[in-house]
Amino acid sequence: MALLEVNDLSISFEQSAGWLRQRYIPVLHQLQLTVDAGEVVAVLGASGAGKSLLAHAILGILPSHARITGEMTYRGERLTPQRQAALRGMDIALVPQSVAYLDPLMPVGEQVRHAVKQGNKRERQRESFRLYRLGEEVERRYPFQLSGGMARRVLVAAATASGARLIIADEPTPGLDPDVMREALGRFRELADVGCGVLLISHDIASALTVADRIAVMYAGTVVEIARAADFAGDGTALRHPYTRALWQALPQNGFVPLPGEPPQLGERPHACAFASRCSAATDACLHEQPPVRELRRGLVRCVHAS
Amino acid sequence: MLLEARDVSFRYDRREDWLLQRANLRIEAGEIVGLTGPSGIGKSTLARLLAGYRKPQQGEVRLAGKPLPSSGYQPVQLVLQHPEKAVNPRWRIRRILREGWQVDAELRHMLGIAEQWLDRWPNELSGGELQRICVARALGPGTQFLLADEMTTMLDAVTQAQIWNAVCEIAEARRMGMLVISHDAHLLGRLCNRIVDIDTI
Ligand code: SF4
Repeated sequence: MALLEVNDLSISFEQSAGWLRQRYIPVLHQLQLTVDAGEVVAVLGASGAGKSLLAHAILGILPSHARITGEMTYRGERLTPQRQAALRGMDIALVPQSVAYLDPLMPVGEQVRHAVKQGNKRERQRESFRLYRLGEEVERRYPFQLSGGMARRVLVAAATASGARLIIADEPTPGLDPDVMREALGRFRELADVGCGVLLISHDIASALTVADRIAVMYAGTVVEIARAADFAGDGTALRHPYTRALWQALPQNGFVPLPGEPPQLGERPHACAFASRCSAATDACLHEQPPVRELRRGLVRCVHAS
Repeated sequence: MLLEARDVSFRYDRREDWLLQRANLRIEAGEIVGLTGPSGIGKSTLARLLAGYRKPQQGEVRLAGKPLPSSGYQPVQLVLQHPEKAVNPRWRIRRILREGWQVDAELRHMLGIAEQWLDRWPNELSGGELQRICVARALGPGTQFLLADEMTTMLDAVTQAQIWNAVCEIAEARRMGMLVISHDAHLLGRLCNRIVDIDTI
């Protein structure tokens, strides 16, 4: 049984369209994803593809005008808004994008103790500080007294100490130099190795591949491919979707190939493959409907022509 | 044409350590120089000095042997990592594109800026779309040097390759010089004629 299972998740935002009329702007579209215990799953894609919305949907923190369809389960049971509220911060923890989430007026040790929901607070906090090589003197420090790298370790320590089994990390590394980034990502690997499931949201393929077991690639509000990390190799022939291949070949260490065109704006959902205008393999068959999701070579793909 | 930092030293506060001490850097017209080195703010500080945002406490920045112009269009333009912090959130895109110069249709096309974006607000564009706007704004005909401080760090690989492809084409056609600050050694290897480490200058 998967720790987290997301099935056919669609989200749209209600927008008033004049006098007593409402429109729904679709933003996520029939999305599939699973995260197992012990696994790091990276969600990759361009800004605007819907990665953070997915995270917010799982945590149950979407704005109130969002309309959600589809199903999410956590350890086999349906994630209702009530259950999400009960699990958030307990079983499911967010490692936020920015160290600005730390309370500037509270010593960091105390903040981590607040996050502990099961067991002895002080013991669990000390244990997680030791795990992340944060000395005892750090407990009494305020966020401004920490280096950026230390503050990030505190954020991950809080997620670990909380006892959460599913960790959602939203863009935890942009702009870090390679050593600090390797360390930050290594923490997530360690969490998975002790049995957590980790959902790592990122726009940076190269760094995500250093820790992820599987990669979900998002494009224009849906997951177009789920691949194994090992599929990202050579010229990308093991990859299933043309967009994933384009991402891989655009890396400076590969071809640095600039695929022309733009993703459609969220909300403009044509009844066709959203990638069709940029795809060299597109045919008439791609223009009739959204390609259905299907299994292929131990992964998933949403492309009629993938083989 | 040469842009140079001569023996520049800088710190924000007298009580703090120097962020840069007697640093030297030369960028020729048409040359693409990569700047790398460990975390810390020395690299970004040097870029700000070269763009005239700050004055060094010691040493000087020279463009073609003279100080940077104190008014009018800045021939040395700086593009930063976070486009949402570099634009006025209360201006529509059309107005932002007119801020420094009148961005023309050809450049918009090269950078993949769609006509429909012009009537939107900055928060209605994605990070990649907004960064193209900032790049276009920095590429007026009077720009002789472009300083890119982690300009594509927040972007996915496809958008990064698109933006650099366009910028390099423009730089070559105009013999513009560039300074590229990045943690990504592969990116610097792709783009630059030479790469220098901040600790050695
Ligand atoms: S469905 Fe068609 S247009 Fe879409 S990615 Fe596959 S081949 Fe390309």
